[in-house]
Amino acid sequence: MTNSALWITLAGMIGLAVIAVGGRRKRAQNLSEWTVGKRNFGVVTSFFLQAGESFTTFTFLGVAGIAFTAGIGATYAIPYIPLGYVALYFIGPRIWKLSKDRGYITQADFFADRYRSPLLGRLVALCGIIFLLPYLQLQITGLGLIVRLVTGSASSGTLSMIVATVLVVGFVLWAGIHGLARTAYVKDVLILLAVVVLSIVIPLHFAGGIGDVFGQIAQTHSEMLTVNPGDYDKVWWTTSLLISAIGCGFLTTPHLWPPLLAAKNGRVIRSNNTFLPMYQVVMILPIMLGFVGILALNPNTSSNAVLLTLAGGALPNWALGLIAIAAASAAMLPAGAICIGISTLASHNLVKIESERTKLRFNHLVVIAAATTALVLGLTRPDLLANLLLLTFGGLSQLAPGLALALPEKPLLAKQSVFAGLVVGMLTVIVMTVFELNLANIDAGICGLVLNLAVIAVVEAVVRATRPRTPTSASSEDLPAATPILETT
Amino acid sequence: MQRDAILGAIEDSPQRRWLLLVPVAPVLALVTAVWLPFVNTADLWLGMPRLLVWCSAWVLLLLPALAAVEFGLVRPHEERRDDRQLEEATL
Repeated sequence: MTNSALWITLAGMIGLAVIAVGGRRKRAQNLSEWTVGKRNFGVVTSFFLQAGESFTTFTFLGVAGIAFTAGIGATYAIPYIPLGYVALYFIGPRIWKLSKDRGYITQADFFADRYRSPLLGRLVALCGIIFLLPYLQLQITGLGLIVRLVTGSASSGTLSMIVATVLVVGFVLWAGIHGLARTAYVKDVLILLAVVVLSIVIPLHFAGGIGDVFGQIAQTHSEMLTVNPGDYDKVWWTTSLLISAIGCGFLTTPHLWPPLLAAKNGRVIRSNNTFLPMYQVVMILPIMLGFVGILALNPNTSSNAVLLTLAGGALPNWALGLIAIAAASAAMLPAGAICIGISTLASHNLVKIESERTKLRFNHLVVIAAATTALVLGLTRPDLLANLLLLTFGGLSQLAPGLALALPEKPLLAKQSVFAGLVVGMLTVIVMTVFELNLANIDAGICGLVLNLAVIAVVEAVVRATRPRTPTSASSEDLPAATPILETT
Repeated sequence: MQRDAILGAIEDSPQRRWLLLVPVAPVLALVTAVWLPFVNTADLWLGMPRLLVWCSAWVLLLLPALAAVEFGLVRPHEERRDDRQLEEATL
């Protein structure tokens, strides 16, 4: 029986890759075309592409697991992306416009050009690559875990990780952002269907229906219905919400840039970010399933296994295979976007290559290298990157002040201030995470941001005090479009 | 170089700037959710945990809040701007 679920899952994964491969219209002539297309995606494509980034393996495995462990504290996962969309409604069109006018295709381009500092661009690119690699591994190992839980076989999990990696590399190299756009439609339909079906079937099977779940929880585990003092307290809830919202709203993870930059115009971005918050309400469904787990499962159950363990008890094997396809799509699409994010940072910002053709080839090699590294480390040394993942969101959120203050016509900060704040903020997050320093349950990323802003204020004051009094009237937008660090598109 | 539509709308329609405050309400309601005693309680609303209902409701309200900015402030500005450009082109 487990074989049937495995074969259904593998067939579904191959089907997804075939759909993605079909997204290519013609061969990309340069890196810009491969990464952001012709910057002409309309409302529907951009909507699904942006939404596709928000449903990951975390939606399937993580949210239900947090509800199982922390109870109602998991609700922080409902508003953080919508709050990010509010910020993106206001700043997204500005980022898009600057990027179109100046030819940016990566986050590092933005920093290098706005602050006139190729070094800052390289630092941003390097941080992006280092912090995104564990996120790529998370998608691949998450997919393996899903298949392992569905089939009950560790070797099936390993096989699916290898197959998924090969498929992702294949469709990303072949179709670039067009492949992601094509798969995004299918993926979102699959995930919504899977989550809705699970939210009906699992409560019915284990608790007599969703209406009874919270009544039973109120009687037997009422403490799980409030955010209480302890590891998952109000400070944890608020600061986790804030740092995650800042990360989403200020595009601090580099793989969020291509879907935004590929939009046709600012109106498309505003329209999408108006409607996208509604989409995230679906997060309440995995949270409810986590509560079913509290009633139905052994408290020692691994939090990541909660949703699929429940599904295994309520669904036949073939249906589990279909659920696994949806879950696999939640890993494959973000993995593809992350591959594009990493490879463009490496080939466009870290290494200087003049020839467009050579640059595209080098970029393709980086896609293969990044995916292979994530797969091999995921199989052999899963803890190595898993530990780094703890730093990913808090670390990259340190880019938010530099980004926000570069949006006016003339950036409000000097490059030295951004550089110093970024380094101090990231070091704070690293030290707090590595040495497990707990400051009243405040998220390490927020602590880093506070120090980051303090350093920015001090360095900026020093820079302004020591700056020669020769006013420059030209804003950076008035400068010629072609600079040594950017390609013209 | 054409100005950003949101900034342009703010300068163009000062009497409608208050619409920018509309999304502040759901944002504040969401960020402060766990600190509100009547929300962070074990009692249920409609058979669901209050925090779950509160977060879901305010997330849904983000749509009309942002739509108010978009259709009350930004789109009218864009339409006026497009009309002006058309007039200038025909002159």
